[in-house]
Amino acid sequence: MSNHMPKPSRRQGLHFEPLWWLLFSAGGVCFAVFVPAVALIFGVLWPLGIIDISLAQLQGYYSSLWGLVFTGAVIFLPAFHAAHRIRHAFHDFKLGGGSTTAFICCGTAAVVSFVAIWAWFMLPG
Amino acid sequence: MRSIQVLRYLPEESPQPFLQSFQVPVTDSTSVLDALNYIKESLDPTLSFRWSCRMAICGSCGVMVNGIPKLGCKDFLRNYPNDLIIEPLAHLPVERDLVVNMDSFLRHLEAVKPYLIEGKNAADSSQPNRQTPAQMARYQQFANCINCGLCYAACPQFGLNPEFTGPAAIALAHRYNLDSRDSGKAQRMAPLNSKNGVWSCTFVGFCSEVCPKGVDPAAAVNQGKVESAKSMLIQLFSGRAIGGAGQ
Amino acid sequence: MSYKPQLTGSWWLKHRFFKAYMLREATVIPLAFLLCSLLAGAFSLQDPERFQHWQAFMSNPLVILVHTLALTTSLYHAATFFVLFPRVMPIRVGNYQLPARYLVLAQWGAVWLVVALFIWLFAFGGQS
Ligand code: SF4
Ligand code: FES
Repeated sequence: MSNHMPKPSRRQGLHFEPLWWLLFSAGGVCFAVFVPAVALIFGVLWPLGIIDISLAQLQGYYSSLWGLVFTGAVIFLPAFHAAHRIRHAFHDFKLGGGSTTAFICCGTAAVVSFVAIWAWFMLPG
Repeated sequence: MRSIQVLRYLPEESPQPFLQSFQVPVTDSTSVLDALNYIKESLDPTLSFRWSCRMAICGSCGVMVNGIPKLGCKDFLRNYPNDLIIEPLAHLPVERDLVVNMDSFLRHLEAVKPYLIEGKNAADSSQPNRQTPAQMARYQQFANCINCGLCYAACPQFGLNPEFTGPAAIALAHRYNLDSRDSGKAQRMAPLNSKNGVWSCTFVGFCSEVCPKGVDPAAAVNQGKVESAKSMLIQLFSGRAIGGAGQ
Repeated sequence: MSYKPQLTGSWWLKHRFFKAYMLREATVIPLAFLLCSLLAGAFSLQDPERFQHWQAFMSNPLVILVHTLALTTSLYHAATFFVLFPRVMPIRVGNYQLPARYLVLAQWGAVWLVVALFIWLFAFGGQS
Protein backbone atom coordinates (compact mmCIF):
# COMPACT_ATOMS: atom_id res chain seq x y z
CA MET A 1 0.00 0.00 0.00
CA SER A 2 1.33 3.43 -0.78
CA ASN A 3 1.47 6.26 1.71
CA HIS A 4 0.00 8.64 -0.77
CA MET A 5 -3.36 10.00 0.23
CA PRO A 6 -5.68 12.16 -1.82
CA LYS A 7 -5.75 15.69 -0.45
CA PRO A 8 -8.83 15.83 1.77
CA SER A 9 -11.03 18.86 1.84
CA ARG A 10 -10.26 21.32 4.59
CA ARG A 11 -13.29 20.43 6.66
CA GLN A 12 -13.44 16.70 6.02
CA GLY A 13 -13.87 14.77 9.27
CA LEU A 14 -13.92 17.88 11.45
CA HIS A 15 -16.41 18.27 14.30
CA PHE A 16 -16.82 20.31 17.47
CA GLU A 17 -15.65 17.73 20.02
CA PRO A 18 -12.17 19.29 20.43
CA LEU A 19 -13.75 22.67 21.17
CA TRP A 20 -16.15 21.24 23.78
CA TRP A 21 -13.28 19.29 25.29
CA LEU A 22 -10.99 22.31 25.54
CA LEU A 23 -13.75 24.31 27.23
CA PHE A 24 -14.44 21.31 29.49
CA SER A 25 -10.77 21.05 30.47
CA ALA A 26 -10.31 24.76 31.09
CA GLY A 27 -13.58 24.73 33.04
CA GLY A 28 -12.38 21.73 35.05
CA VAL A 29 -9.29 23.66 36.14
CA CYS A 30 -11.41 26.68 37.14
CA PHE A 31 -13.94 24.46 38.93
CA ALA A 32 -11.10 22.94 40.95
CA VAL A 33 -9.03 26.07 41.59
CA PHE A 34 -11.53 28.95 41.90
CA VAL A 35 -14.90 27.44 42.80
CA PRO A 36 -13.90 26.11 46.27
CA ALA A 37 -12.99 29.64 47.41
CA VAL A 38 -16.13 31.15 45.87
CA ALA A 39 -18.40 28.50 47.38
CA LEU A 40 -16.71 28.97 50.76
CA ILE A 41 -17.03 32.77 50.82
CA PHE A 42 -20.39 33.38 49.13
CA GLY A 43 -22.11 30.06 49.83
CA VAL A 44 -21.06 29.44 53.42
CA LEU A 45 -19.11 32.11 55.34
CA TRP A 46 -21.12 35.14 54.26
CA PRO A 47 -24.62 33.61 54.66
CA LEU A 48 -23.62 32.29 58.09
CA GLY A 49 -22.58 35.79 59.09
CA ILE A 50 -18.97 34.81 59.72
CA ILE A 51 -17.81 37.48 57.32
CA ASP A 52 -19.62 40.59 56.25
CA ILE A 53 -19.74 41.72 52.64
CA SER A 54 -21.29 45.03 51.67
CA LEU A 55 -23.02 45.86 48.41
CA ALA A 56 -20.66 48.78 47.78
CA GLN A 57 -17.65 46.52 48.15
CA LEU A 58 -19.06 43.95 45.73
CA GLN A 59 -20.03 46.63 43.24
CA GLY A 60 -16.53 48.05 43.45
CA TYR A 61 -14.86 44.71 42.73
CA TYR A 62 -17.34 43.43 40.21
CA SER A 63 -17.62 46.52 38.03
CA SER A 64 -13.85 46.52 37.46
CA LEU A 65 -12.18 44.35 34.85
CA TRP A 66 -11.75 41.73 37.60
CA GLY A 67 -15.50 41.25 37.47
CA LEU A 68 -15.15 40.08 33.90
CA VAL A 69 -12.28 37.77 34.86
CA PHE A 70 -14.49 36.37 37.65
CA THR A 71 -17.35 35.85 35.18
CA GLY A 72 -15.02 33.97 32.82
CA ALA A 73 -13.31 31.80 35.43
CA VAL A 74 -16.21 31.10 37.78
CA ILE A 75 -19.28 31.13 35.51
CA PHE A 76 -18.47 30.79 31.80
CA LEU A 77 -15.82 28.02 31.86
CA PRO A 78 -17.35 25.95 34.71
CA ALA A 79 -20.72 26.16 32.92
CA PHE A 80 -19.20 24.52 29.84
CA HIS A 81 -17.46 22.00 32.06
CA ALA A 82 -20.81 21.06 33.61
CA ALA A 83 -22.53 20.96 30.21
CA HIS A 84 -19.95 18.51 28.87
CA ARG A 85 -20.27 16.17 31.83
CA ILE A 86 -24.07 16.25 31.81
CA ARG A 87 -24.11 15.52 28.11
CA HIS A 88 -21.81 12.49 28.56
CA ALA A 89 -23.87 11.33 31.53
CA PHE A 90 -26.87 11.12 29.18
CA HIS A 91 -24.79 8.88 26.96
CA ASP A 92 -23.66 6.79 29.94
CA PHE A 93 -27.27 6.29 31.06
CA LYS A 94 -28.21 5.33 27.48
CA LEU A 95 -30.55 8.34 27.28
CA GLY A 96 -29.04 9.99 24.23
CA GLY A 97 -25.78 11.90 24.32
CA GLY A 98 -25.57 12.57 20.60
CA SER A 99 -25.60 15.91 18.80
CA THR A 100 -29.05 16.91 20.10
CA THR A 101 -28.00 16.43 23.73
CA ALA A 102 -24.74 18.25 22.98
CA PHE A 103 -26.65 21.12 21.41
CA ILE A 104 -29.00 21.45 24.40
CA CYS A 105 -26.24 21.17 27.04
CA CYS A 106 -23.70 23.44 25.37
CA GLY A 107 -26.50 25.80 24.32
CA THR A 108 -27.59 26.17 27.96
CA ALA A 109 -24.01 26.86 28.99
CA ALA A 110 -23.73 29.46 26.22
CA VAL A 111 -26.93 31.20 27.38
CA VAL A 112 -25.75 31.21 31.01
CA SER A 113 -22.40 32.68 29.94
CA PHE A 114 -24.04 35.29 27.78
CA VAL A 115 -26.38 36.37 30.59
CA ALA A 116 -23.43 36.54 33.00
CA ILE A 117 -21.47 38.81 30.68
CA TRP A 118 -24.57 40.92 30.16
CA ALA A 119 -24.93 41.33 33.96
CA TRP A 120 -21.37 42.62 34.07
CA PHE A 121 -22.06 45.16 31.30
CA MET A 122 -25.21 46.35 33.05
CA LEU A 123 -23.23 47.48 36.08
CA PRO A 124 -22.14 51.08 35.79
CA GLY A 125 -18.47 51.27 36.50
CA MET B 1 -10.23 -27.97 48.16
CA ARG B 2 -12.47 -25.03 47.54
CA SER B 3 -15.37 -24.26 45.29
CA ILE B 4 -15.26 -21.88 42.33
CA GLN B 5 -17.94 -21.01 39.82
CA VAL B 6 -17.49 -20.76 36.08
CA LEU B 7 -19.93 -19.25 33.61
CA ARG B 8 -20.44 -21.95 30.97
CA TYR B 9 -21.83 -21.52 27.50
CA LEU B 10 -22.38 -24.64 25.42
CA PRO B 11 -24.55 -23.52 22.50
CA GLU B 12 -25.37 -27.09 21.37
CA GLU B 13 -26.68 -27.96 24.85
CA SER B 14 -28.37 -24.79 25.98
CA PRO B 15 -28.90 -21.40 24.37
CA GLN B 16 -28.38 -19.70 27.74
CA PRO B 17 -25.09 -19.38 29.62
CA PHE B 18 -25.18 -20.96 33.08
CA LEU B 19 -23.03 -21.00 36.22
CA GLN B 20 -21.37 -24.25 37.20
CA SER B 21 -19.55 -24.99 40.48
CA PHE B 22 -16.35 -26.99 40.71
CA GLN B 23 -14.25 -28.21 43.63
CA VAL B 24 -10.58 -27.52 42.99
CA PRO B 25 -7.46 -28.14 45.11
CA VAL B 26 -5.71 -24.94 46.21
CA THR B 27 -2.32 -23.94 47.52
CA ASP B 28 -0.96 -20.47 48.05
CA SER B 29 0.32 -20.39 44.47
CA THR B 30 -2.76 -21.68 42.61
CA SER B 31 -3.60 -19.24 39.84
CA VAL B 32 -7.02 -18.83 38.28
CA LEU B 33 -5.57 -20.45 35.16
CA ASP B 34 -4.25 -23.41 37.23
CA ALA B 35 -7.77 -23.91 38.58
CA LEU B 36 -9.26 -23.85 35.08
CA ASN B 37 -6.63 -26.35 33.87
CA TYR B 38 -7.42 -28.61 36.81
CA ILE B 39 -11.11 -28.55 35.91
CA LYS B 40 -10.37 -29.37 32.27
CA GLU B 41 -7.94 -32.20 33.08
CA SER B 42 -9.68 -33.81 36.02
CA LEU B 43 -13.34 -32.79 36.13
CA ASP B 44 -14.79 -31.69 32.81
CA PRO B 45 -12.80 -31.88 29.55
CA THR B 46 -15.46 -29.87 27.70
CA LEU B 47 -14.48 -26.60 29.46
CA SER B 48 -13.09 -24.14 26.89
CA PHE B 49 -10.70 -21.28 27.61
CA ARG B 50 -7.60 -19.74 26.04
CA TRP B 51 -4.11 -19.73 27.41
CA SER B 52 -0.56 -20.20 26.27
CA CYS B 53 2.41 -18.71 28.13
CA ARG B 54 1.08 -18.82 31.71
CA MET B 55 3.44 -15.92 32.50
CA ALA B 56 1.56 -12.75 31.55
CA ILE B 57 3.23 -12.39 28.16
CA CYS B 58 0.94 -13.84 25.51
CA GLY B 59 -2.19 -12.00 26.62
CA SER B 60 -4.59 -14.83 25.76
CA CYS B 61 -5.95 -15.84 29.18
CA GLY B 62 -8.11 -12.79 29.98
CA VAL B 63 -11.28 -13.53 32.00
CA MET B 64 -13.57 -11.66 34.38
CA VAL B 65 -12.81 -12.64 37.98
CA ASN B 66 -15.62 -11.46 40.25
CA GLY B 67 -16.55 -8.94 37.57
CA ILE B 68 -13.08 -7.48 37.04
CA PRO B 69 -10.94 -8.22 33.97
CA LYS B 70 -7.84 -10.20 34.93
CA LEU B 71 -5.19 -12.40 33.34
CA GLY B 72 -5.96 -15.90 34.62
CA CYS B 73 -2.25 -16.68 34.92
CA LYS B 74 -1.46 -13.52 36.92
CA ASP B 75 -4.35 -13.71 39.38
CA PHE B 76 -4.35 -16.09 42.34
CA LEU B 77 -7.08 -17.90 44.23
CA ARG B 78 -5.57 -16.72 47.53
CA ASN B 79 -6.80 -13.20 46.59
CA TYR B 80 -10.40 -14.42 46.85
CA PRO B 81 -11.05 -15.99 50.25
CA ASN B 82 -14.82 -15.97 49.70
CA ASP B 83 -16.74 -16.33 46.44
CA LEU B 84 -14.97 -16.70 43.15
CA ILE B 85 -16.84 -16.42 39.86
CA ILE B 86 -15.03 -16.69 36.54
CA GLU B 87 -16.77 -15.30 33.46
CA PRO B 88 -15.72 -14.51 29.89
CA LEU B 89 -14.33 -11.02 29.15
CA ALA B 90 -17.08 -8.39 29.08
CA HIS B 91 -18.17 -6.34 26.04
CA LEU B 92 -17.19 -9.00 23.51
CA PRO B 93 -19.35 -11.74 21.94
CA VAL B 94 -18.89 -15.11 23.70
CA GLU B 95 -18.33 -18.11 21.44
CA ARG B 96 -18.08 -20.82 24.07
CA ASP B 97 -17.51 -20.91 27.85
CA LEU B 98 -14.67 -18.43 28.46
CA VAL B 99 -13.74 -18.00 24.80
CA VAL B 100 -14.65 -14.58 23.38
CA ASN B 101 -14.58 -13.36 19.82
CA MET B 102 -11.74 -10.80 19.58
CA ASP B 103 -12.51 -9.72 15.99
CA SER B 104 -13.75 -6.23 16.83
CA PHE B 105 -10.71 -5.64 19.06
CA LEU B 106 -8.40 -6.73 16.25
CA ARG B 107 -10.26 -4.59 13.74
CA HIS B 108 -9.70 -1.51 15.90
CA LEU B 109 -6.02 -2.39 16.31
CA GLU B 110 -5.59 -2.79 12.57
CA ALA B 111 -7.29 0.53 11.84
CA VAL B 112 -4.60 2.56 13.64
CA LYS B 113 -1.67 0.88 11.79
CA PRO B 114 0.31 -0.13 14.89
CA TYR B 115 3.70 -0.56 13.18
CA LEU B 116 6.52 1.68 12.01
CA ILE B 117 5.60 3.41 8.79
CA GLU B 118 8.52 4.46 6.65
CA GLY B 119 8.84 7.95 5.34
CA LYS B 120 11.06 10.91 5.91
CA ASN B 121 11.91 9.77 9.44
CA ALA B 122 13.25 6.42 8.22
CA ALA B 123 14.54 7.29 4.81
CA ASP B 124 16.91 4.41 4.13
CA SER B 125 15.81 1.01 5.38
CA SER B 126 19.24 -0.51 4.67
CA GLN B 127 20.69 1.58 7.50
CA PRO B 128 20.25 0.88 11.22
CA ASN B 129 17.53 3.07 12.63
CA ARG B 130 19.18 4.81 15.54
CA GLN B 131 17.30 6.19 18.53
CA THR B 132 18.56 7.93 21.65
CA PRO B 133 17.41 6.79 25.12
CA ALA B 134 15.48 10.07 25.46
CA GLN B 135 13.62 9.40 22.20
CA MET B 136 12.80 5.89 23.37
CA ALA B 137 11.62 7.10 26.79
CA ARG B 138 8.86 9.08 25.11
CA TYR B 139 6.92 6.01 24.01
CA GLN B 140 8.34 3.08 25.98
CA GLN B 141 5.53 2.82 28.51
CA PHE B 142 2.95 2.48 25.73
CA ALA B 143 5.02 -0.22 24.01
CA ASN B 144 4.44 -2.76 26.79
CA CYS B 145 0.96 -3.74 25.61
CA ILE B 146 0.37 -7.49 25.13
CA ASN B 147 -3.01 -7.07 23.39
CA CYS B 148 -4.84 -8.98 26.11
CA GLY B 149 -8.00 -6.87 25.72
CA LEU B 150 -8.58 -6.47 29.48
CA CYS B 151 -8.89 -2.73 28.97
CA TYR B 152 -11.74 -3.25 26.47
CA ALA B 153 -13.57 -5.41 28.99
CA ALA B 154 -13.03 -2.63 31.56
CA CYS B 155 -14.15 0.23 29.34
CA PRO B 156 -17.86 1.14 29.63
CA GLN B 157 -17.56 3.43 26.60
CA PHE B 158 -16.51 0.43 24.49
CA GLY B 159 -19.35 -1.55 26.07
CA LEU B 160 -21.82 1.19 25.13
CA ASN B 161 -20.35 1.80 21.68
CA PRO B 162 -18.43 -1.10 20.08
CA GLU B 163 -17.30 1.25 17.32
CA PHE B 164 -15.12 3.14 19.82
CA THR B 165 -11.49 2.54 18.79
CA GLY B 166 -10.78 1.76 22.44
CA PRO B 167 -7.89 1.97 24.92
CA ALA B 168 -5.25 -0.48 23.62
CA ALA B 169 -5.56 0.55 19.96
CA ILE B 170 -5.32 4.24 20.79
CA ALA B 171 -2.40 3.58 23.17
CA LEU B 172 -0.60 1.74 20.37
CA ALA B 173 -1.36 4.48 17.85
CA HIS B 174 0.06 6.96 20.34
CA ARG B 175 3.11 4.75 20.90
CA TYR B 176 3.96 4.84 17.17
CA ASN B 177 3.11 8.53 16.82
CA LEU B 178 5.67 9.25 19.55
CA ASP B 179 8.37 7.11 17.92
CA SER B 180 11.15 9.16 16.29
CA ARG B 181 11.60 6.46 13.59
CA ASP B 182 7.98 6.63 12.45
CA SER B 183 6.43 8.76 9.72
CA GLY B 184 2.87 7.47 9.82
CA LYS B 185 1.16 9.95 12.15
CA ALA B 186 -0.83 11.58 9.36
CA GLN B 187 -2.38 8.22 8.49
CA ARG B 188 -3.19 7.36 12.10
CA MET B 189 -4.83 10.68 12.95
CA ALA B 190 -7.85 10.10 10.72
CA PRO B 191 -9.34 7.25 12.82
CA LEU B 192 -8.21 8.95 16.05
CA ASN B 193 -9.81 12.28 15.11
CA SER B 194 -13.20 10.73 14.41
CA LYS B 195 -15.97 10.76 16.99
CA ASN B 196 -15.39 7.03 17.53
CA GLY B 197 -11.69 7.72 18.08
CA VAL B 198 -10.24 9.54 21.08
CA TRP B 199 -13.39 11.67 21.51
CA SER B 200 -15.53 8.77 22.74
CA CYS B 201 -13.46 8.55 25.92
CA THR B 202 -14.71 10.15 29.17
CA PHE B 203 -11.61 9.24 31.22
CA VAL B 204 -13.34 6.64 33.33
CA GLY B 205 -9.81 5.35 33.81
CA PHE B 206 -10.68 1.73 34.67
CA CYS B 207 -8.68 0.51 31.64
CA SER B 208 -5.46 1.73 33.25
CA GLU B 209 -6.51 0.23 36.55
CA VAL B 210 -6.88 -3.29 35.11
CA CYS B 211 -3.99 -3.23 32.63
CA PRO B 212 -1.58 -6.01 33.68
CA LYS B 213 1.36 -4.26 32.03
CA GLY B 214 1.16 -0.73 33.46
CA VAL B 215 0.54 0.75 30.01
CA ASP B 216 -1.85 3.46 31.29
CA PRO B 217 -3.97 3.46 28.12
CA ALA B 218 -6.25 6.17 29.59
CA ALA B 219 -3.30 8.57 29.65
CA ALA B 220 -2.50 7.69 26.03
CA VAL B 221 -6.09 8.30 24.94
CA ASN B 222 -6.18 11.68 26.63
CA GLN B 223 -2.77 12.71 25.34
CA GLY B 224 -4.29 11.66 22.03
CA LYS B 225 -7.08 14.21 22.56
CA VAL B 226 -4.48 16.98 22.77
CA GLU B 227 -2.85 15.66 19.58
CA SER B 228 -6.18 15.31 17.82
CA ALA B 229 -7.24 18.84 18.78
CA LYS B 230 -3.95 20.16 17.36
CA SER B 231 -4.28 18.09 14.22
CA MET B 232 -7.84 19.25 13.55
CA LEU B 233 -6.92 22.88 14.19
CA ILE B 234 -3.99 22.63 11.79
CA GLN B 235 -6.26 21.05 9.20
CA LEU B 236 -8.85 23.79 9.60
CA PHE B 237 -6.36 26.60 9.13
CA SER B 238 -3.94 25.10 6.65
CA GLY B 239 -6.26 22.84 4.69
CA ARG B 240 -3.56 20.18 4.86
CA ALA B 241 -4.19 16.47 5.26
CA ILE B 242 -5.46 15.35 8.67
CA GLY B 243 -2.59 15.02 11.11
CA GLY B 244 -0.16 17.17 9.21
CA ALA B 245 3.11 15.74 8.01
CA GLY B 246 3.87 13.45 10.96
CA GLN B 247 6.55 14.03 13.58
CA MET C 1 -23.41 -19.09 17.58
CA SER C 2 -22.46 -16.60 20.22
CA TYR C 3 -24.11 -14.36 22.79
CA LYS C 4 -23.25 -10.86 23.91
CA PRO C 5 -24.66 -9.41 27.12
CA GLN C 6 -25.81 -5.81 26.54
CA LEU C 7 -24.96 -3.03 28.95
CA THR C 8 -27.98 -1.45 30.61
CA GLY C 9 -28.15 2.19 31.73
CA SER C 10 -27.28 1.07 35.26
CA TRP C 11 -23.92 -0.56 34.45
CA TRP C 12 -22.17 1.93 36.72
CA LEU C 13 -23.86 0.49 39.83
CA LYS C 14 -22.00 -2.79 39.43
CA HIS C 15 -18.59 -1.75 40.64
CA ARG C 16 -17.08 0.57 43.25
CA PHE C 17 -14.78 2.11 40.66
CA PHE C 18 -17.68 3.03 38.38
CA LYS C 19 -19.65 4.50 41.28
CA ALA C 20 -16.69 6.75 42.08
CA TYR C 21 -16.65 7.75 38.41
CA MET C 22 -20.34 8.67 38.50
CA LEU C 23 -19.82 10.60 41.73
CA ARG C 24 -17.08 12.56 39.94
CA GLU C 25 -19.45 13.30 37.07
CA ALA C 26 -22.21 14.25 39.51
CA THR C 27 -20.07 16.97 41.12
CA VAL C 28 -21.38 19.28 38.39
CA ILE C 29 -24.95 19.15 39.77
CA PRO C 30 -24.27 21.25 42.92
CA LEU C 31 -21.94 23.29 40.73
CA ALA C 32 -24.79 24.10 38.36
CA PHE C 33 -26.88 25.28 41.32
CA LEU C 34 -24.06 27.47 42.60
CA LEU C 35 -23.60 29.00 39.14
CA CYS C 36 -27.27 29.96 39.04
CA SER C 37 -27.02 31.51 42.51
CA LEU C 38 -23.98 33.53 41.44
CA LEU C 39 -25.73 34.62 38.26
CA ALA C 40 -28.62 35.92 40.33
CA GLY C 41 -26.08 37.68 42.53
CA ALA C 42 -24.45 39.36 39.56
CA PHE C 43 -27.82 40.84 38.60
CA SER C 44 -28.70 41.87 42.14
CA LEU C 45 -25.72 44.24 42.36
CA GLN C 46 -27.60 46.89 40.39
CA ASP C 47 -30.09 47.66 43.08
CA PRO C 48 -29.87 47.56 46.92
CA GLU C 49 -33.32 46.04 47.31
CA ARG C 50 -32.55 43.18 44.93
CA PHE C 51 -29.25 42.69 46.71
CA GLN C 52 -31.15 42.19 49.98
CA HIS C 53 -33.37 39.61 48.31
CA TRP C 54 -30.31 37.81 47.06
CA GLN C 55 -28.73 37.87 50.50
CA ALA C 56 -31.94 36.43 51.97
CA PHE C 57 -31.94 33.70 49.32
CA MET C 58 -28.28 32.85 49.99
CA SER C 59 -29.02 32.65 53.74
CA ASN C 60 -31.84 30.17 53.35
CA PRO C 61 -30.67 27.08 55.31
CA LEU C 62 -31.47 24.79 52.40
CA VAL C 63 -29.48 26.96 50.01
CA ILE C 64 -26.55 27.03 52.46
CA LEU C 65 -26.75 23.26 52.58
CA VAL C 66 -26.55 22.92 48.78
CA HIS C 67 -23.70 25.40 48.65
CA THR C 68 -21.84 23.47 51.37
CA LEU C 69 -22.36 20.43 49.18
CA ALA C 70 -20.98 22.41 46.23
CA LEU C 71 -17.92 23.28 48.29
CA THR C 72 -17.37 19.63 49.22
CA THR C 73 -17.90 18.32 45.71
CA SER C 74 -15.65 20.99 44.22
CA LEU C 75 -12.86 19.66 46.45
CA TYR C 76 -13.68 16.08 45.39
CA HIS C 77 -13.62 17.19 41.78
CA ALA C 78 -10.25 18.87 42.42
CA ALA C 79 -8.85 15.68 43.95
CA THR C 80 -9.91 13.64 40.89
CA PHE C 81 -8.96 16.30 38.34
CA PHE C 82 -5.49 17.19 39.60
CA VAL C 83 -4.18 13.64 39.29
CA LEU C 84 -5.32 13.51 35.66
CA PHE C 85 -3.33 16.57 34.62
CA PRO C 86 0.17 15.01 34.82
CA ARG C 87 -1.16 12.01 32.88
CA VAL C 88 -2.66 14.07 30.06
CA MET C 89 0.22 16.56 29.90
CA PRO C 90 3.34 14.89 31.28
CA ILE C 91 6.18 17.34 31.67
CA ARG C 92 9.47 15.99 30.45
CA VAL C 93 12.75 17.83 30.21
CA GLY C 94 15.13 15.70 28.15
CA ASN C 95 15.43 12.43 30.06
CA TYR C 96 13.91 13.83 33.21
CA GLN C 97 10.23 13.23 33.88
CA LEU C 98 8.82 15.69 36.40
CA PRO C 99 7.22 13.53 39.12
CA ALA C 100 3.44 13.71 39.03
CA ARG C 101 3.14 14.45 42.74
CA TYR C 102 4.85 17.85 42.32
CA LEU C 103 2.27 18.83 39.73
CA VAL C 104 -0.56 17.64 41.97
CA LEU C 105 0.86 19.53 44.93
CA ALA C 106 1.31 22.69 42.86
CA GLN C 107 -2.37 22.56 41.88
CA TRP C 108 -3.48 22.16 45.50
CA GLY C 109 -1.21 25.09 46.30
CA ALA C 110 -3.16 27.14 43.76
CA VAL C 111 -6.46 26.21 45.44
CA TRP C 112 -5.26 27.38 48.87
CA LEU C 113 -3.75 30.50 47.36
CA VAL C 114 -7.11 31.44 45.84
CA VAL C 115 -8.89 30.70 49.13
CA ALA C 116 -6.38 32.95 50.93
CA LEU C 117 -6.85 35.67 48.32
CA PHE C 118 -10.65 35.60 48.68
CA ILE C 119 -10.45 35.66 52.47
CA TRP C 120 -8.07 38.60 52.32
CA LEU C 121 -10.36 40.42 49.86
CA PHE C 122 -13.64 39.83 51.64
CA ALA C 123 -12.81 39.30 55.30
CA PHE C 124 -10.14 41.97 55.45
CA GLY C 125 -11.46 44.25 52.72
CA GLY C 126 -8.30 43.83 50.70
CA GLN C 127 -6.33 45.78 53.34
CA SER C 128 -3.20 44.45 54.95
S1 SF4 D 1 -3.29 -1.71 27.19
FE1 SF4 D 1 -2.97 -3.16 28.91
S2 SF4 D 1 -5.03 -4.03 29.27
FE2 SF4 D 1 -5.09 -3.08 27.23
S3 SF4 D 1 -4.59 -4.75 25.81
FE3 SF4 D 1 -2.65 -3.71 26.29
S4 SF4 D 1 -1.77 -4.86 28.02
FE4 SF4 D 1 -3.95 -5.47 27.86
S1 FES E 1 -1.43 -17.42 29.59
FE1 FES E 1 -0.27 -15.93 28.48
S2 FES E 1 -0.87 -14.09 29.49
FE2 FES E 1 -1.83 -15.60 30.71
